Amino acid sequence: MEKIELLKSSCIPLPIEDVDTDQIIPARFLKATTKEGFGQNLFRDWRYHSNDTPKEDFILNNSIYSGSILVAGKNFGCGSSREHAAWSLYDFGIRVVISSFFADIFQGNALNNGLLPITVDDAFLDHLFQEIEKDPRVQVEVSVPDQTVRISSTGQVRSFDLDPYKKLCLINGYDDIDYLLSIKEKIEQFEFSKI
Amino acid sequence: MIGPELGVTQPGMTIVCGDSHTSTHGAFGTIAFGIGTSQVEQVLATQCLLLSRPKKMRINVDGELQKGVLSKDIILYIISQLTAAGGTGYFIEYAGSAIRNLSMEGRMTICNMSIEMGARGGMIAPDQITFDYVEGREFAPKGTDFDQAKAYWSTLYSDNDAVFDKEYHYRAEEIEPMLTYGTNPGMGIRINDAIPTVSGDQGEASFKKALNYMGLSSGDKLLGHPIDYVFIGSCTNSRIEDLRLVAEFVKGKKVAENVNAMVVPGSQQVRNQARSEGLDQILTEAGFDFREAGCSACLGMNEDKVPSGQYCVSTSNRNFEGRQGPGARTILASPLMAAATAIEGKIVDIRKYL
Repeated sequence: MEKIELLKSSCIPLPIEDVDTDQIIPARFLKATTKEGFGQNLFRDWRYHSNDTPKEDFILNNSIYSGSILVAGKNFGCGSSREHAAWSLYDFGIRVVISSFFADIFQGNALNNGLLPITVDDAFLDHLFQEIEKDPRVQVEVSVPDQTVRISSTGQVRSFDLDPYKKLCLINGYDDIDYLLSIKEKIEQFEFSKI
Repeated sequence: MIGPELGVTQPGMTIVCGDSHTSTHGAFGTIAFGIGTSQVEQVLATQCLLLSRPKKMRINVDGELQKGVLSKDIILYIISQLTAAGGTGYFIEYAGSAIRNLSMEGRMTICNMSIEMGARGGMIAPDQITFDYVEGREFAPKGTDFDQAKAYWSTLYSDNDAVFDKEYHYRAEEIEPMLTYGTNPGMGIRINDAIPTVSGDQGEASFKKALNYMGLSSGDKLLGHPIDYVFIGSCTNSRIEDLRLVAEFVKGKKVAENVNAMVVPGSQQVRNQARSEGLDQILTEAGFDFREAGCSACLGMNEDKVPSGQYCVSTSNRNFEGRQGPGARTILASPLMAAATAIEGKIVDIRKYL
């Protein structure tokens, strides 16, 4: 897993609520055994017509918008548990998703794959959408150690919640299995005492 | 499907799987929830899972269900009240007399859709109906082992003074056959209700986008709406009880000419059982396509897809954009509502037949 500590980038705005994992990566593209290559089918049916030509009006096909931060409406990532949703965003180059609410399983999957979901209040999210509308190149700075997200044009800052353990994992590029195996003895003792 | 059928799923277990509908097993009083691929790896490597403790929610449904109203209608009704994100961060216990009176199949349908309101899991305390279902199955404990297990299972219920972070109460009598009109399972109405209006910035745009995709408008009713496809299947509603209900209803009737209707059993065991009871014949004679067991048109992974722009009344669990194929328009409903729709070629109220 790649480390993520500080990030400064322009944003891709997706002001839609309840974006589900079937939109992020439709089921027919799940037939792969590695995590690579899913980015090309990210938001496939919003991004391309059935004849594979790009849909002009979809945000990912608008060259004005780019960057490694996706800003989305509330309840992002609802639906299936497919981890491919996180993989496809990551593979596309997204490192941070900012929304006012994340679906549970998606949030966990994202954190397990070095993709940082940042939950902000509705007012900040609206403000961020407005700033991006004014200037698509507006820069947003994310600091994992400080747990802050800052809009450089207006200086507005928000701090965000992040599980201390997950924070450590993100900054160091650790994964859960390394951690669990390091406390294997304690787990076995616990199991033994309960049976 | 097959965990319960084989008796592998037993009260008190913790069950995880890389499928968000793992919550189905909660019907047996298990802690069951879907996980991502990395977490599956974690379980296989360590037999453990790192989690933060979920909040507790109880949903009570008391009273008598109307005739023609099934467990699918209960859960679609609950989700329409709580929205597609209303359960996020929670584990749910379903309780109340209307839940207690359901068969195990009906309970599985309820727990299955917990994730459609964002809850990782949903469970129902095990009781005699649960024990009777498990007893005698291939991997269930036998003889005195079963008695011992049952004694333990009987202790698995919430204490009278248990405290929940959130609690909801609904009356079974208020629930009518349910339908979804939008592109998430929270966008549901009772059959006689009109599609609502939503206003307010971001929510309004998403709502309009959903209705535009579905080709429907606020104020419309779904009753009488013509339909192109009917899909009876998925881990929500493809158990033997579902197939029996559908077969009983369509016996001697014919699927409307404008409708392409299929029945897909949830497992080989269900398929074989249906064939041994002659249900496949009844369904085929009525004009349904009786297919091989599997997920099929629930998520359009194989060739079973609904063409763009066409309407499908489906007994599955998700009406997301493109879920049943690019451009497909899904209306979620109970197996009885789906069967009646297939026969008439348009959405009807199943209660008029009863």
